[in-house]
Amino acid sequence: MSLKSSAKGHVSWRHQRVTAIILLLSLCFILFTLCCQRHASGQELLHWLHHPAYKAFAFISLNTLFYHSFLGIKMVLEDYIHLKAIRQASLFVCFIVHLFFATFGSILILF
Amino acid sequence: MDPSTTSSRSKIRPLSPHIQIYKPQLTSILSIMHRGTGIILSLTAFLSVWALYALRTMDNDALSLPLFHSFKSSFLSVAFLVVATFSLFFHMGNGVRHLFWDMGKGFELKTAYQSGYAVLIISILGTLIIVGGFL
Repeated sequence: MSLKSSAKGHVSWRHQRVTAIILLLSLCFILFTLCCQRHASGQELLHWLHHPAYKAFAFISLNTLFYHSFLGIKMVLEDYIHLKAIRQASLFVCFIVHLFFATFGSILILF
Repeated sequence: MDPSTTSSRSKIRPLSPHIQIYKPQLTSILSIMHRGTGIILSLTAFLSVWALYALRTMDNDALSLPLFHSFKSSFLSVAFLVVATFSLFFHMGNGVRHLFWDMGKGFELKTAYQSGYAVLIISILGTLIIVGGFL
């Protein structure tokens, strides 16, 4: 994945819009489900996560969320950090943190 | 032009986006809020993974309790729920506004203001309904 917005800015822009549409649909569903399950215990929520269809849905939603988040934070860092070295270092840290949380979250959902 | 003059000029120039020289308007405030709520939601996403980890490592006694009832017990958790829910509704609503702009719709000043107020009202109402339902 490239960290240069000047060369691949339009790709980031398109990806941000596509992930936004996916998240709009999935977060509405998650919000509705959580509202219906607001009196549920931790065991009931974990039981819900064991269903293969919900597992796949949670996996796709989580990874789309972190990719959308990475693209958004990347744009903010590129706009506000003017020193090239600090900007590149911040973008690298941002990428690693998002990759770590997306991978760790995926492992928690799938296994 | 003398390079030393150019260098000293660039040092005293304010950094973009020059927020301090503009009179605050609804459109600019909503744009700043969109970025701010995006950052809050990113932090909430990191916290959600940590919460999922906590859920996975909880003992059976703790797991049998209603999960969201613990939110009532602390002011910080209520404040977090309010801020995160408002951020979610606002970022989603304003995101839909951006998607319409990308299609070339809603650019007129009157429409931009109307949609901006609509996003704010929906965010406040959505927050009240969700937080009221959980607490």
